[in-house]
Amino acid sequence: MRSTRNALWLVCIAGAVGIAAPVTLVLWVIWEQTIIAEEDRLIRLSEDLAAQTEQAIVDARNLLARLNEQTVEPCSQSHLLKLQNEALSRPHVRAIGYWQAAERLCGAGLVQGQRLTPERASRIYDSGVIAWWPGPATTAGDVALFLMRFGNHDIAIDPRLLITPGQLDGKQVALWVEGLKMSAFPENGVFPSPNELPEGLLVDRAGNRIVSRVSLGSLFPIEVVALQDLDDFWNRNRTLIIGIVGIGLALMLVWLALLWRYLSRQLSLEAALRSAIDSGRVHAVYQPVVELDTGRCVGAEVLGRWTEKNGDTVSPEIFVPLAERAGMGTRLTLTILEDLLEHLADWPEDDQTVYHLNLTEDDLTRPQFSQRLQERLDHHGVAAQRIALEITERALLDSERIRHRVMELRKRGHSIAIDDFGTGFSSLAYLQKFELDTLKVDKTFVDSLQTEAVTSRVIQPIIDLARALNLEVIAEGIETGEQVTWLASRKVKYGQGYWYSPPLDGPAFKDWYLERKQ
Amino acid sequence: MNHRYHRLPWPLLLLMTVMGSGCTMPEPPPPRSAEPPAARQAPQTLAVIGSDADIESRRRALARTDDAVDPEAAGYFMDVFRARIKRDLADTGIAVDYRDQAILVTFPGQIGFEFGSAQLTAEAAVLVNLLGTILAEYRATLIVISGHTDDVGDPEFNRRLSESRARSVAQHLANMGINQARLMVRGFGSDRPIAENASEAGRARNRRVELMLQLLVRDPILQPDKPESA
Repeated sequence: MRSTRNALWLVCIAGAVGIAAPVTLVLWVIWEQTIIAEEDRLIRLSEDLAAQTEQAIVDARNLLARLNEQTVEPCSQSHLLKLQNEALSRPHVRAIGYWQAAERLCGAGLVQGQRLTPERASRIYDSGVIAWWPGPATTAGDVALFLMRFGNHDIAIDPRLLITPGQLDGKQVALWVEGLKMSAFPENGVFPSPNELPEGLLVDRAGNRIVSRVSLGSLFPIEVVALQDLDDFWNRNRTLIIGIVGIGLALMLVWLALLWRYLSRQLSLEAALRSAIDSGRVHAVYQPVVELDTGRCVGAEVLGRWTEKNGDTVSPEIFVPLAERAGMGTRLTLTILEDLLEHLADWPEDDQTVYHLNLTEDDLTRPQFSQRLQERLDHHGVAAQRIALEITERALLDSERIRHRVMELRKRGHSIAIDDFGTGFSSLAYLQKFELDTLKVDKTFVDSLQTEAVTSRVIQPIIDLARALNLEVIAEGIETGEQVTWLASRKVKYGQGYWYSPPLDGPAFKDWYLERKQ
Repeated sequence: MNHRYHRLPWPLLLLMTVMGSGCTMPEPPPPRSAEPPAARQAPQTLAVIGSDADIESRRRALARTDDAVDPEAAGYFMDVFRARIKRDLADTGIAVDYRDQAILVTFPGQIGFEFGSAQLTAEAAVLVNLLGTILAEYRATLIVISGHTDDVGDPEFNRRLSESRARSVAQHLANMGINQARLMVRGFGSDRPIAENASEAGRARNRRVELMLQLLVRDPILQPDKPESA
């Protein structure tokens, strides 16, 4: 039915979501962890760079102050030696100069003799310190220098050397001091301004890179912008991410495949059963029920048989539960009933054989079957007494509603039999609650007769119980004469099984019956 | 080297200051009747100017000298000059106004001169000295010194007094070895007040000596002349 199919799809989707959700969650956590770890790395790197820069600037300022305070003759030998020593002891210092106004009188360092007089200072501090951030005006050779002048001395710093490429680990880094770009690696790299960036990590998919901005400020604000290729980031974390994604996908696929296989089989079987019922490929067969003492046939259990066009048969053990799950239980029962009623039309009027029809749960929980049964019996003119109804223990467990329905059916004249007695539920309370007529002892107990199995001792109490409750007993699955003798000696009245006959189709049963009668 | 001039001993400087202007100036109470001190002074080289045109022609003349800064270093010069003044004149009571091509330094009257006198107080002398040291190094500047008074008293007397005071500062700087060609003196009297003369506070503000330190950039137009003169 349509609703069943929808329900199955729902189950399928729910299953997929069920597995996708935890996998997604795990992926998200891993991704977040990766980002956090990356951010930590970047913050540490930025802090190192900022500290190096800050130290270099503070050191330069202090050096200039010391040089201004010294008492040596300007541009004397000892003054020049002093400048040279100070310059050489600092790898990032390119030159130290002695100035008068805008004239460089002497100095030491790589831009010796060269006079850098940029048009406009970047900062003039109240202390009298003047600074020129790196730019075209401060370029000597190929290097844009960071210049600082205090009093009569100035210092030229190569800002490239404030960043040690070894510590960058493949990242591109740019450094801003007081909002002005100080240094970058690589030098000609294009970096977004820190003003345009949020603090922290940003994945720039268009640029295929990760951009980070870290702001630090102890003596003066320093900002570090780092760029990392997404490819690089990917490479670093590939193993982890691929592993997790792989496992997640594999789990999902396996789960979906299993689910799909199961459901599609169910769905196709269901569809096949539906078409089999519709096109009459499910029909009734009859297993004779015999009076053990006399061997007289008193009736038959009506069973369903599903025969495919190619002659294959499907066992009722498969298709009955399937029909029940698919909500086709009543349809199946009615199909078999119809077949039975047509069969009965061929029989002599006075015949009193009783046919045992197996009911499904749906037949009892819904009113439909009860009504249709009466309607069909009336239509064919068959007495209710001719049709015994077999109910499983499980169906009887349920509610008052079922009890009423069973009572009503019994009042109409149907005798009620408990099928597979002893295999269902251990509580026997229902035996009191329900008004019943017959117990059918399950084949398992009959099989175990004359063996040492534990169950061999159970059959006697069942027989005793039935007698106490005034119920008829039918033994199922009789296969040997010894079983017949044993059962007959215990006053079991009826039996069925291969010892007498397998289930037979309508005409065959009729033949068998007539043959027996003679 | 210029920076050595400021190493002249202090007493000598003071003496020079006193001889240059102070002792020739009679104390003028009541100021209205007294002859302004500068009028009787011996002719001296410090130029007293009457108009802005004089300043401009002097600036042009100086732009040809070695004192002027190369055009490409002009911005740099102003930046470091400014930084130096910022550092040295901070918290001295001297007002500094930074302009594009100039710096205006104002000595307020109350720290500069006794009432009605053109003689620098000892406190003011120290500050002028401080400024002189800077100006000795930063030679690419024309120093226009102008004296101002409040509007109390005879305008002509006030004009002369203001001029005397400006000259007093100029002389002090000249004595420190500042090239006299860089120094120009003007006396405005009460013509250019910067505050209301109605209140004492306003009048106090108006009594002042201003030093307009104008950047001297080597004149690029004169470049073709250089090879000829060399």
